[in-house]
Amino acid sequence: MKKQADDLSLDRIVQAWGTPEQAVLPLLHHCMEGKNYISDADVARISRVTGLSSSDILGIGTFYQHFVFHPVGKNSVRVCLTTPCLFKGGNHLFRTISKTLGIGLEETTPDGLFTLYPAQCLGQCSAAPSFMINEDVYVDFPVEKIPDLFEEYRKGRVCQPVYPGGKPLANKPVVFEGLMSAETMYLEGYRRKKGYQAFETLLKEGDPEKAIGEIERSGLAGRGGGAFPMYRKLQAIRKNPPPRYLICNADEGEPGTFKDRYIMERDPHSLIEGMLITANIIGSENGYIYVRAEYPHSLRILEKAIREAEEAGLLGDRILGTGFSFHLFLYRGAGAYICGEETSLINSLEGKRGYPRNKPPHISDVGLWGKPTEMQNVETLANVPSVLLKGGEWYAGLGNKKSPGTKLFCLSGHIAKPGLYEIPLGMSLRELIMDLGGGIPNGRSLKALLPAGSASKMLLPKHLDLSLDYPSIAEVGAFLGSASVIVMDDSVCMVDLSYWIAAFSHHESCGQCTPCRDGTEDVYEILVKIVRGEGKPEYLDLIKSIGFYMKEASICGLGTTAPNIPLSSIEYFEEEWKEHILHHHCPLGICPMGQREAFAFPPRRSRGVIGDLPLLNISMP
Amino acid sequence: MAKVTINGIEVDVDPSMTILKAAEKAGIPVPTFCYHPRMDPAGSCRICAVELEDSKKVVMSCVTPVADGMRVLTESPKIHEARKTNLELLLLHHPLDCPVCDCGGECPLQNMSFAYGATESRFESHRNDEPEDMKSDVLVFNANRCILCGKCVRICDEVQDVHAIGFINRGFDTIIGPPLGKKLDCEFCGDCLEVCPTGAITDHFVRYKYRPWQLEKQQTTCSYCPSGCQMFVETENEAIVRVTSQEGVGPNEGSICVVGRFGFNHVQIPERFDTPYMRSLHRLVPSSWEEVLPEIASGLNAIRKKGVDRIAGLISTRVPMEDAYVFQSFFRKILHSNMIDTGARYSFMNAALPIVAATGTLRPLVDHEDILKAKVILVVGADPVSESNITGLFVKRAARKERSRLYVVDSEAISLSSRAKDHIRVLPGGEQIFLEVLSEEIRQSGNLGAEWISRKEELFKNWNVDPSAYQRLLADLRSCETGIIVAGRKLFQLETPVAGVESLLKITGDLGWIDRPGCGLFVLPEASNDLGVLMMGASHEWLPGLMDSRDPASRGRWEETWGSRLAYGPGGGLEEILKGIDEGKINALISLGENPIGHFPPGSRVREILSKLDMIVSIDMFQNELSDMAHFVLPASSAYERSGHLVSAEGFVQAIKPTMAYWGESLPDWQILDRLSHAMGSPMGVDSAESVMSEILRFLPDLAPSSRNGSHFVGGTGEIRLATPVASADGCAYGEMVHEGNGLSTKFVSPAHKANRESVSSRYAQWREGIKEEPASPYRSIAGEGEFVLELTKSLFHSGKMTLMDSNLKKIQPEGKLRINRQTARKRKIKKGERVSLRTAYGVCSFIVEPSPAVSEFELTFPVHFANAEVLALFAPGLDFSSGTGAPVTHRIRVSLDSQNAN
Repeated sequence: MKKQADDLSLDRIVQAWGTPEQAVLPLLHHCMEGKNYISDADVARISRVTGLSSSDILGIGTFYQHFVFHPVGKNSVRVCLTTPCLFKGGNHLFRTISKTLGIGLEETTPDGLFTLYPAQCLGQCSAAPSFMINEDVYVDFPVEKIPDLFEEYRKGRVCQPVYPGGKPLANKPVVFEGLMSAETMYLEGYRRKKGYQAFETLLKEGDPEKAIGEIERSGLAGRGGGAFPMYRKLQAIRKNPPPRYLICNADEGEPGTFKDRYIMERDPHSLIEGMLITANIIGSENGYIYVRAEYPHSLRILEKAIREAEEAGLLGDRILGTGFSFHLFLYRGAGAYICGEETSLINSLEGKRGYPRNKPPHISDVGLWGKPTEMQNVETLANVPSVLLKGGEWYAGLGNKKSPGTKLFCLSGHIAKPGLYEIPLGMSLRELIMDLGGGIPNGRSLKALLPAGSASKMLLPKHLDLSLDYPSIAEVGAFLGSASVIVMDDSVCMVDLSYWIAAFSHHESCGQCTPCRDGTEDVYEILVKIVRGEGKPEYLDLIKSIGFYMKEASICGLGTTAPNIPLSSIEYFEEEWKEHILHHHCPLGICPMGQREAFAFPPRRSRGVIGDLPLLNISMP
Repeated sequence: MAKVTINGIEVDVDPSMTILKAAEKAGIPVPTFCYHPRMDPAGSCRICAVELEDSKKVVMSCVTPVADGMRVLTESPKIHEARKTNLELLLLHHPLDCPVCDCGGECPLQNMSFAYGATESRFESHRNDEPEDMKSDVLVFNANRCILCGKCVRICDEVQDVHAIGFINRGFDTIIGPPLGKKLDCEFCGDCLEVCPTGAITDHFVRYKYRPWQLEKQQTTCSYCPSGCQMFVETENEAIVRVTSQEGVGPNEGSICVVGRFGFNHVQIPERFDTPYMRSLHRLVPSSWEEVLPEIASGLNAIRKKGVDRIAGLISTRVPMEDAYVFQSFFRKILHSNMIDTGARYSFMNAALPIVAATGTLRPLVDHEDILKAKVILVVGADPVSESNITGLFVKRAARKERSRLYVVDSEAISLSSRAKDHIRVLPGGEQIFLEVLSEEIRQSGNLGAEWISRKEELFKNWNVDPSAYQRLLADLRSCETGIIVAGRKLFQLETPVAGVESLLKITGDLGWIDRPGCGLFVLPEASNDLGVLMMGASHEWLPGLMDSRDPASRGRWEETWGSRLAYGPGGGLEEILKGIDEGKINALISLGENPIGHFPPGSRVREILSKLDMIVSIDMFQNELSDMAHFVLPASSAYERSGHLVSAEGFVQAIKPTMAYWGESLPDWQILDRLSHAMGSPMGVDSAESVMSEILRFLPDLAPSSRNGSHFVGGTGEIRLATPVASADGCAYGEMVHEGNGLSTKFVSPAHKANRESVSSRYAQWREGIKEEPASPYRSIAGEGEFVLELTKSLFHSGKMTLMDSNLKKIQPEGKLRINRQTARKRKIKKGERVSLRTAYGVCSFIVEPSPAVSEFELTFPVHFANAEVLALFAPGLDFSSGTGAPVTHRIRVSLDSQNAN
């Protein structure tokens, strides 16, 4: 009987999605609930209800970090191991947790209660270090209390209430007033702040051309990193025949970035309104928000916000009595940084492995299910209501000529006042770091800056007077990306930094193209050797030649940007590298250099034959 | 058109073309790993990088479209460096087991490294050393050697549509193989093995047994099913080591199925007859040609003297055309007998007779290319994937990539059902009623009385036909530009098969498909050369060229041709032969690869009847029931040893070539008959198979060898061949692109393989007028009593009974299992692997059960290859030839299932 009931609920999930393939990720999430892994029987059931082969299902499932196909502990512990957290004691936190539980990465405690996973940025970088137990997020948690915390979980399930994480916006907002309080979390609160007025006006006037004109005047560009003018994307997709799809990219995976999470958790309706306006302009009837798996709270809050909007007649068929219909679906990712790349995201949304596609064709021609697709970042879409409400000229006037408008900046790392800042584009980097951010704490000095998480070439103190707009940053070979500025003081070892960046790229490379798959692996392995004190002089050239090849020949942005930080740190800090390689000595004493054991990610390759592997030392009830 | 300059050579190409294809057109090879002409480009290996001269950008030629005025360099210092780094990355963790790797010597990775690779290594790291996945009985997956080009996964998905292997994990940890820890469960076509550019996928059968450069390679035509696959038999010291295919070669375009790829081992086992045998004191004793031929000859001479039609002949339809031609002329000219029949009698003849009556030819109006272009495809009573694998692949591709609307009418779920717009799952046997109703409705085009409609509704209710799906199909058939109906084995084996085939012919004509290019009926013959053997006149109805053997004019024509009077009698087929023997009117039987005993239930008196013969000559490869009672057993050569031609389902006349020496003393059939004629004192004087073919071609020139073959583009180092078949304007011939001077031109070397629509059209009109319209019969009962219909079906893993001798295929499917509907099995508490017994009024037999969702709750299926005397004992004994085509009716029966453990 139970079996049949299970099949029924799985069937309902299949019915809820566009194609059986698309239902696979939701189905896998469903099966993970409760027992934290997906059993053979689950795979067989999913295969039955979707009509896909079990090979297809496992191909999809094993691509994503969140899905596990062997019995694991009742509680999943995910510790962030990306740069912003590591600079703030993440390494120590990880070691404490590992010691408390007595297990390493991807291992399970003997009592079957905990399994430890690495997390690739939980979007809590301003309050680093962070970790997550099941769906509960812990930030800046006192290390000495960790044993007690796990004791709580041992006794029973601790479950945090869903609330917007982190402190409000750190400076005075211009556009993003909604980020100041938790009030706008609900429709009522959002309405009080002129919410949905822009959309209602657009519906009433029925003039999308005018709205595009307003967006063109505002100079609003893609805030996810691409900085491509929004109106041009809108015009391009309107030329193609329907059906057209609208996708919101909420797979904010870049280490050091948390702006989209703020918007989704504090001001979800501004995103929904932005999507409604965009959908109306491009004539789309179906939209998706692709939220990363690491943001369970965002997901819950958005779920509620969408329900509210639906109940208020703002989403669904014939909205507010007009001929316009728009259905909005929340799609949950499953732990893959690559899915932030637009074509990977589309593949993932179609229920495939998140492999990026070769371009051309552009997604405005061939996107979701081969149909024209518009994809925008959360922040871009959340800007749209204000642009229409207050006018494009007002918005453009906020920034400088080169880059109009304001932008959310995520400050993290070695800075006195980390947090989320909304600043007019064109402000100088010095003003952001030294004035707003309060400078470098503890009497240390600034060594370097990562302007776009782990993607862009680094910036040096000499670049502090650069204007924070897209073209100016590009002049020095870097890019602004999603504007997650990670600040590094002089306690940071550049080889150690490169090691962690390489570990991240290696962990997150999708493995489709040779340059990125093997390039990230080999750069990581070379760095492991260097930090262990086994470096050889020829390694520097080798990293360079692999890096240049990756930049030249990779399919997508991950491969082309992954070598940026190692390469630029070699460019700027060659002496430090040479000290490591030639003399096997870390001047800052951070790299283990054979003195201590180096941290290494466990290979996941063996998961392929997990049926035969005695990976667990637990006895399941 | 876009003008593109590649390495200084200017070419005009379609702007939608990729740089790679443009380079191919310019005759410039670009190395590739992940590119495969039959699949969507993946662009993942990045080895096909080329440089754009103007922007100095490096782009991937397989995914980048050309632009007018584009200037491309396929080799430059930058590109060389890029490929070198790529290979360096690939080889860093690649194991250094090339000396023992099966792929060594024919490995694109080796070749490419030789051309571009670094000679020194700058970084030493661990070599991949995962254990190999040895769980499958057929394929071995070695993740260490894999370069993740993904061709195996994509060919399994895109070409085979089987989805048996996939990527597991992501990034550098990605591996390729069957689902986690599971044993590979698939169709074992081995296409993944074929496309693998390294030794990552190998097969258990020949692993570590050869070095590729020591093998002799011979292209030949597969002689199992009528797909006409071109394959390469690779031998060492006159022994077959493996069978491979080549991308783009042949109508199969590089795919071959499990039977063709792995079923070669039975021809080289000691059980094969290697010398003539003669009966002496009730025992067969080894003998020699010199000894047996005079003995047989004198016996035959004595019988021949008694009169015409005294000697009967049976021939298998797996022999080449040449042997069939010699067979019938030996009987008609030398033995004065028309008592001849072929193995097609048991099934395909039920389609061949009405089709020849209606169209005058056995060649189809449409071929596989037309299937790809068809807007609507109806598959009825056929499982193309197991009956004619390549036809199945084309139907899959049409439905998946070309978005043809596919309808399946079958009681069972076949592998195409999942791709079908509608699968109309009729009750067992309902296919025929369905067709009769469909044909009537199409003929009347709307002018149907209320009475007829209510009868239709009742019929549909009784036979479980979904009326709305029927309506959709009807509307699609009527409105589609191009449509094709595929019919096969199951339809030809129904109780009154001729009615079903005639309905199909009526539908085809009434829809106006006969005159419309791209439309028509595509029937699947059962064996590789059903068409060729029948065209050669090996059955009593026809002289070569499908001329009526009883028509004095046709007879006169061949008498003139052969320059001798044909003194044969009225003759007859299997039915008349058995009757004649029983009545003492036939005294000798010569069987070429046929064994009638194995086709009838044990109580049918066939053995008893045959024992009345004065002489039985069995020409065969293996022992069987007939050879056991034969007076002479003569060893025949196999399809791997002789030469000749086979006619495929598409109508191609393709060559089989000798790949190894004749086994022992064995000889090809034509030679045995020729020697016999010499011994009898009336020599036929056949020199060789080639001379027979030239004689055939002199009188039947339209049977000139033809194939869809294309020219091959050999990649510089990757050995990638691109097929570029070119169709002539009328779509009837295929040619090759050839370089002539500076330009490319098309040469049509292949004669037409499809039927000529004009001559079919006039013949069809006559037939259509003469055909009577009879209302569909309300109910056709399947013989017997019981709750299930037992059906003997064709397995994907075997072909006929001969492959049961094949160790490779036996490993893949060692025994026949009774397939039962999964729900039914659950309800009756029957588990997989248990034994059940089936009972009819005639016998009881026990089976091992395999529950399957594909079988309907009303039927049970069992692979016909394993249907031995015990299984056949369930069927009604006797010689029932009521089908109207002289075909025995024994394929389906009602049975009761006894789930009590039958031991």
